[in-house]
Amino acid sequence: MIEFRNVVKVYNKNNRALEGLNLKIPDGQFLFVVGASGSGKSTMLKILTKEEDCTTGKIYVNGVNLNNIPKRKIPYYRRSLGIVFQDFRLIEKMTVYDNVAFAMHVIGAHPREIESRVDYVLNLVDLRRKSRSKVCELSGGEKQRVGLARALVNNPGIIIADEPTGNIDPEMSYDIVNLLSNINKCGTTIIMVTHDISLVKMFNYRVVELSNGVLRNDTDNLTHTEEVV
Amino acid sequence: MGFQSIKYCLKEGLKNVWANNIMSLASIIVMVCCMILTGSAILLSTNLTRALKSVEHQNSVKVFLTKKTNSVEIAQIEEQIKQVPNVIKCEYYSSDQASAQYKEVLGDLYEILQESGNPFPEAFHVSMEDFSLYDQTVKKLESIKNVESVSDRSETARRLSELNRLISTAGLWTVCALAIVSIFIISNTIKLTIHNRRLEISIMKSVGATNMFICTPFIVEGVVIGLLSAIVSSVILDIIYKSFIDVLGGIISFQGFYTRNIFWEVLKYFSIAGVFIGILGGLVSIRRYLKKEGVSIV
Ligand SMILES: Nc1ncnc2c1ncn2[C@@H]1O[C@H](COP(=O)(O)OP(=O)(O)OP(=O)(O)O)[C@@H](O)[C@H]1O
Ligand SMILES: [Mg+2]
Repeated sequence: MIEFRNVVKVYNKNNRALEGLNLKIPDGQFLFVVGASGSGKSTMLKILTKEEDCTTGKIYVNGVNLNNIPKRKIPYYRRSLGIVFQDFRLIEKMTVYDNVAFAMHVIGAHPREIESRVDYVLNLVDLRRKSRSKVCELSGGEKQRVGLARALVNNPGIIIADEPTGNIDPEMSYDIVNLLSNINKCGTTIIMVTHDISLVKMFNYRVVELSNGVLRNDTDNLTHTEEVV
Repeated sequence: MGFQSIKYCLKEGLKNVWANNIMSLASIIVMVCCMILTGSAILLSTNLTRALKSVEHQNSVKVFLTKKTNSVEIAQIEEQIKQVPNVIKCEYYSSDQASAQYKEVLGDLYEILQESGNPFPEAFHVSMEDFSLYDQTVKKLESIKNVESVSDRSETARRLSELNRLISTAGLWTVCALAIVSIFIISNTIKLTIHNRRLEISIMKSVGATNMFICTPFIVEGVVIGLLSAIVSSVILDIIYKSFIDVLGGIISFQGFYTRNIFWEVLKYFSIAGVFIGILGGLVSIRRYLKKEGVSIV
């Protein structure tokens, strides 16, 4: 369970990105976050990943108040999250396999464990055949599947994706969300920010819309359903 | 950090040194220069201190008597000298002894000197307890009847100790300045590595690598550069020092040189300095990046 309680984020004293956000995300939910540019979507995710601290308010993840996590514990908290980036953030000169293995190496996993786990997730995103290819030789969709594999490799309970389809073409985008949907079926909570309303419409998941730093519409709040989509 | 992490960080650190080879080489060269300068200053100062000690150690002056003193007078003078405060030892050194000693050194040339008879006066070797009371003691010795002169050794000692003080002070400042230069150059080299690897750092952070884990490869890089510099400069300094002693030893017959085999000792201190500077350089360069998160790194 993730819960935002009255979360306010002010950048540089006067740039108000979030204006009292309230949102509950149950375990195992698939959630689309939409909203105009500058409405605070990325900010919301950054607060969730502890990349930014909120100015006031509280965020609970599985009962833990994120404001109370000491700095040196943040890395351990992040291991429970899988983060997918719009710009992939892959190391181009390394192979697909090494990019995914990297995420396990840097948290001190054992080489034998790394080998079996990386094979498993590459299979999951259907990239096993390309595991020895360099990332720079891949298409956008394939790159994002590598990014997804990396986010999955440490077996996180929550996947956070900020516009994961922002840099790939529409058919590929569908594949990515479909993959996320399959992962979600195994019980992983998915939070995906997107601008692509047509993509959102293809799946029957909860959608929330941010506007000027507050929740404007939420498909779980049935009265506003039509407005959102 | 577990064993796997340590292994991984060491490997990455070594990779960094290699991947960044030109800058690594540049910083090794700068550090080697710094270490050789520092080492030379310290060795010079050590040897001067030793030279000074050997001069001071004797703590003795020669008291020359006037030419026509006879043996009775000599005995009286010896008693008088022994009475002078601060004198602890007084040894008779006859003109025959002096002439014999010089004969050995000068050989044939000495025969010419000998023509006008033994040119050396009777003398005493007088040892003082406290060299700092030199001036008063010498004055007292000079005032004794039939004492012609007192050899002036203090001038050499004073000069040496002045020079030594100068070298020590200058050396200390040089060491400090060069240490700062070394830290600066190492940290800049590592900064470049970090800049090249900032994407990796941001990924590491996002998947939950600890700060310790993120830092370690860069500290390893600094330490490796420091140790390589230590080895290279020890070898070079060893060669310089040996040839210096050989050349100088041929010119002046000073036996008090500090041991010829300085390599291991120099290597030990250079390694300690290299590791220390490497760690500092690594920390200085990564500090800024540890505070950053996400996009601000890339
Ligand atoms: N690091 C930052 N420093 C200062 N202001 C920031 C920072 N990050 C975001 N902002 C501001 O906060 C507001 C919300 O930004 P945010 O990135 O959360 O929007 P977004 O909904 O993700 O927009 P987009 O759809 O364009 O990605 C914007 O006005 C933005 O200028
Ligand atoms: Mg955004």
